[in-house]
Amino acid sequence: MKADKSLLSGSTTLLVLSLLSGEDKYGYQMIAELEAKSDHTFSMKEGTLYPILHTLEKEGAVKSYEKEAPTGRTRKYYHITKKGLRLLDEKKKEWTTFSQAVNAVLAGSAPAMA
Amino acid sequence: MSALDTPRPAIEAFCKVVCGFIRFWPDHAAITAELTAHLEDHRDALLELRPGLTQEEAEEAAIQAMGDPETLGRALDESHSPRFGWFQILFRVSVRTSLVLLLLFFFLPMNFDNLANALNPPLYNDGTNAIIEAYDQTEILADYHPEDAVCYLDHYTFTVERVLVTPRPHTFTGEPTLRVSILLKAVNLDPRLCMPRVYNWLWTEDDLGNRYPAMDQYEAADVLYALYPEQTSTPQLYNTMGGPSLTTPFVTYYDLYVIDVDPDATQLTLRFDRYGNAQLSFHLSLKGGVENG
Repeated sequence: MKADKSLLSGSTTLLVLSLLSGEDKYGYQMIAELEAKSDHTFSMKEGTLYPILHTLEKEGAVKSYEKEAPTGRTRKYYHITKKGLRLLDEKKKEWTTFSQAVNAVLAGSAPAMA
Repeated sequence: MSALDTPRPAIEAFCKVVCGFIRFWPDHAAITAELTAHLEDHRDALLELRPGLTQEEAEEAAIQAMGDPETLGRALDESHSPRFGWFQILFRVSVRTSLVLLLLFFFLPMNFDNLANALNPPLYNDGTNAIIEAYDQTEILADYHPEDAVCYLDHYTFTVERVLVTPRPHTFTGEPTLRVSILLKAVNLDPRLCMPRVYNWLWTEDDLGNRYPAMDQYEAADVLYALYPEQTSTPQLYNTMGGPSLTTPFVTYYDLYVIDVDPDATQLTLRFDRYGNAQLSFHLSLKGGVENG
């Protein structure tokens, strides 16, 4: 199933931050991981990732540095900062509240649909 | 991998279109590098997954997955706003410039010799007959650190750090006399004041009344004596010499020595009184003992 684009856009920052919370990654690595983890639900346009990363970097939520990737090429890695971890927490809470509310509404209307 | 790295006109073209929408040009190179890396990674992954694809096809697929270059370029332009970018560059440049100026401010008063000395400080008495190197071959009459040898002069604190007394034949007669080496230290809080030029006007006097004038004073007396031998006293064949041996922005060491000192003297006074009331005066014993053996 493909996710609706508008549903996705608000949560991409959350996804990016949570991907980086484990270890430092470069752009393509994040895309590949996102696709694998979400079972291809989030096959968004890959270009969308970079404006998000660069905005996060400008805000100080992530930092970037150049390093040689295991493939032997130099890649721009992103590292989540303390500020980024705080932002991740906030976004997670927001998301939980939001999804709980949606689920509650769905549960309430379920019998009518049946 | 090297074959895959070389031609990639489609990728280059894609990056060019993206960068066309980004006003802050200093970031173009970094963005191009990052997007190129991404597209290459994706292309290589596709080639591995489906070996039937040609390189051009894989590249095209990777570019397709990236999305519309105009949308991407406009989005990146927002996170790379020229105002913020130029401000950042200005900030970095000014920080670096002020650092360099600060360093120059500290080190400009030092010439290159002194800089070399600061990096590789000379041994005590280096260049003045190297007594330390031949310490065990030299008879040491006294070698000590005088206590309370402190004088405050304007913005400087002067201290005598070491006094070394050794026998030495008189320069002209060959009779036994003393050579007294003095390590003088000047400390200043303001680095612009480093290396006070007192050394040519330091002179000494022993407790028997003999004077050992500074080099400049000695030369002046010598010239006067040559001009008017009947009016001036004969210059004594003694002098005080030496100069700064180590200069840092805050500390200067002077290696001074007095030769042909009367062997019967028990005390030597190091003086600087060129500017009237401002003066240095250190009373140094010539029988100070040997403590630095």
